[in-house]
Amino acid sequence: MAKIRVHELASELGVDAATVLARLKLLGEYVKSPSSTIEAPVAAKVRATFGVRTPRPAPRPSPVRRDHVDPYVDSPTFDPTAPSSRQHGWRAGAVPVPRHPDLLKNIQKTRQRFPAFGDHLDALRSLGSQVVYAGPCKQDGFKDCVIVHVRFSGAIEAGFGFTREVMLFYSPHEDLQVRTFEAAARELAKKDQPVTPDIFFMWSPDQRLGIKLNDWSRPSKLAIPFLIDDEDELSLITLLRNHIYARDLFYMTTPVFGASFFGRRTLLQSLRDDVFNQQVTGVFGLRKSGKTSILMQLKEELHDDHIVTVLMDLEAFPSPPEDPTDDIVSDLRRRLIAELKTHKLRTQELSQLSDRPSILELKNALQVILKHLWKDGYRILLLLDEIEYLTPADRIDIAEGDMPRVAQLLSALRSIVQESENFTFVLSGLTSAIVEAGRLYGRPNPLFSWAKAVYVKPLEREEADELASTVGGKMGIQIEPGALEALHEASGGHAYLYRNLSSAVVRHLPTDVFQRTMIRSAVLTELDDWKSRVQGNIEEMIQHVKRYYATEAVMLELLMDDPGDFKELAPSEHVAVRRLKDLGLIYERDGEYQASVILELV
Amino acid sequence: MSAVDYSAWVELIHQKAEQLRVVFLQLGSSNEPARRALTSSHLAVQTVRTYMKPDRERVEGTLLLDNMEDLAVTSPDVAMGALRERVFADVDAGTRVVLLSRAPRIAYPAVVGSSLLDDASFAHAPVVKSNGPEGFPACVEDGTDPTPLLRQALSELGPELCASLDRALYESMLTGETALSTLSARELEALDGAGITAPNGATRSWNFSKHLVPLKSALDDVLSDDLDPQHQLTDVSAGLWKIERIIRREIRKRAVTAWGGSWRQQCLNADLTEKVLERATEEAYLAATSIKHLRDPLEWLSLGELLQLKDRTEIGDLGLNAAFWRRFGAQIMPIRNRLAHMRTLRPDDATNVVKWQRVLELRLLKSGTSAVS
Repeated sequence: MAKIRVHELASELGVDAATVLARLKLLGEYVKSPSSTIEAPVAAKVRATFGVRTPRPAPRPSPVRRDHVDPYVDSPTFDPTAPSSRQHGWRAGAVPVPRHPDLLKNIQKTRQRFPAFGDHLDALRSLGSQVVYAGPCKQDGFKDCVIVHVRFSGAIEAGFGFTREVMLFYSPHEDLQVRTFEAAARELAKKDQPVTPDIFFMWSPDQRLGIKLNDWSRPSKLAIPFLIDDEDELSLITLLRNHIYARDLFYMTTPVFGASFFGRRTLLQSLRDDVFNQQVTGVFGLRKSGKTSILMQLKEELHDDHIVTVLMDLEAFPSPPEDPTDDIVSDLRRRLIAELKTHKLRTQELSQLSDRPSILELKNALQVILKHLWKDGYRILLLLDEIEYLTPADRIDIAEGDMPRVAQLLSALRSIVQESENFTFVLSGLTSAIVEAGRLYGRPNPLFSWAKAVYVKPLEREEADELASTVGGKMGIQIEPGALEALHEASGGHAYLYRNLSSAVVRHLPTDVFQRTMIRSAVLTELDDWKSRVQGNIEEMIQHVKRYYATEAVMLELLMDDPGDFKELAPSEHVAVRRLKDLGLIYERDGEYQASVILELV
Repeated sequence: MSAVDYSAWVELIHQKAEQLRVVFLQLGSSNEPARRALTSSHLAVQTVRTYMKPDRERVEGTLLLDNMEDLAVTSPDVAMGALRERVFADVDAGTRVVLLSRAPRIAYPAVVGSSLLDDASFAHAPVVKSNGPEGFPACVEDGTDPTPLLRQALSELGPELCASLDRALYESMLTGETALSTLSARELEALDGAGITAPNGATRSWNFSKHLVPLKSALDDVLSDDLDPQHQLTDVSAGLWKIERIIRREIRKRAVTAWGGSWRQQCLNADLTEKVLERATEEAYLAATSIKHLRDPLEWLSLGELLQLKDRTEIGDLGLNAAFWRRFGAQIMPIRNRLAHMRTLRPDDATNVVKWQRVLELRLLKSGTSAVS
């Protein structure tokens, strides 16, 4: 194949020559200037990094709906309007014009009802994208709305991380209400929809459409106002850039589950087995290591297994020395009833109790219900998060302190597990004292030597790579291997720090490029600032270790300040050393212990 | 009307809230004009107490929770755990929340589990660069008197941080970047929010002339005027009480085992015997003429003197190795001295006391059991 000059390739791709030169450099190809020529295979590699396929003499037929049409050859399937050179690159991997009569009829109907839809069609087609479905919304109260599915060109899909069709929701209302937004969100959530699950476009004649959608959108449901500027041929691309590139899916304040959850496959499988084997387990780890996310993901994954799951966050209840048990028992009853009703299961015995039953009353009622559920193949799983609120070791002597009802509640839960075949519970928190202390509030600890402790360790490199690549892909960002390595090295794989660093790097990536790419140097450039920003968070994590793991904290201090003392004591303090390893704070290499990356950041 | 245009900074806070959902923003009294600019921008404003009322309605868009500093007091009306649960429920439903506080994150009592303040993304106050408190925005724009304002700013930082400044500026006699290097990341962040320092990328500088004279002067006043007990005082005093009594009890047990009925005389060397008898007779044992008349001579020893008894072979290390005891002495003795002289406690004091209390309980009281820390 013939050689091509850099500036010609740049023109073909719709970017400037400097961008192509930079991309060549990343590929290890050193080219002097825009007028230099490059070999055809090299040009093909460059095109690939921009999500563009190299033209082939005969495109192979595709099993999927979109044909890989050569964008450079005039084709009857293309919109007759010739694209500009700026649009050219985005048309790569164009979608064929729809031909099915029903679809064409529906498109026409939609066009008549929503004249703006005609402009949208033109804008989509000029960028190699097509409407593949159009039909009325079937929800009561919203039947005057229309739902459209769009398949974007291959280049747009690659550039913005789409892997499926995208939904457009048309509403005729001049004063768009949040209930219409919610109706669109419900459409998006339908399981049979083949559309991108967290992004959709919305159009209505409301003058404040942009402001309203900006207010109502949330990370799990980004609504983009479909407002196209007729004068700008790349208006749609600008719209996508302004919204997709502005997203930061790495930064998470709330726990993640479902499509946002990554890794931990072994731990989740083990927890799943524990649920079916009625092995009570405690999931422990540093602050922000992802414990709550694991519980929520477990709940999600057990949803289809006839398991009724109740997740209780104990932080909202009073904490010892104030007695929290009455409130917990009352709330547990209420949540169990609600969850059982959702599954249309028996609640009678629980409903007959007073609002604030005793521990024994709850236990008896639950046991009767469990017998009935067992016949129908159902199980109940209780997830108790932030368990240290029951054992605040820095506030009360949890071994002998005067709070026997906490121990009594845990004893009741243990006996339900032992006396039934379909109930179990999982604990989660910072400290494993609740399953490892011999005594609890003046009684033998019911969980001691009975419940299992597992620790949430930092993400393995493979898990972290999957997280970064997938989340980055959703924001249209390609992450190079060197960058993945740097992210993991700098954060030590700690889930929060990893996401936080990725987020910091993404914030400084350019948004006016064809393909956003995170390279190693972008991560390294960000490190100093990022370290100064997360130091406070890491100090807080370490403070918590000091509060709940006293011996371990002293050993950690020795490792940092007097490594000789640490080495001498490590054999006799093996329990503390093991726990520090479990928490991901130290590691052993060639028989020597070293502080993990997290500690180096302080 | 404000002389300074805060619109770009306000826009930045809105953007941050939109992107990151929960934002913590410390704006001290020195930054009052910025606070006004933010609260009058396009967002709903509620005090944290109003927000926690059961009948409140969820706010669409961005909600600014004001007076967060009410939760930094010893016994706040609102539990941070309950607030976290409510904030996250609203965030899940689409609300963006800005937590606006005059107190820095470090001034809040530690919570048992996950912390809302740590979960929130941190937003910076507008960067103010000046050469003294006269340059604080509240002075420049509102004409506030700089001297009391600086005192107010230090008070808002909390006694623990003032104690850290005391250590850096007075005890260590440091100035400039060297003084800042002794402070933790959270302490530095707090100084930025109060307008006492100004961030510049990964570094920061004082907003005072070289010798920090006005700051030191205000610090004198604030520390000497602070009469309220710190929120960590209960933990520190109770912990030290227990630590010292555990050690004393264990030494006594070993002494009795080693010397039987004459343990009182045998335990202490001649010099200490004399000192103890003198102390005891001055205060309580008016008629005592010998150490054997004292019920427990160990009660008249300082912690340092008590720890020296471990050097006696008959007493030994009490089950805790020498490296641990060295670290214990280095961390606990200064705290005990601070408390004995009613000086302000430092940020880590409670954590260190509770930590050593737990270690001694485990090693000295429960050695041989399977209980874990």
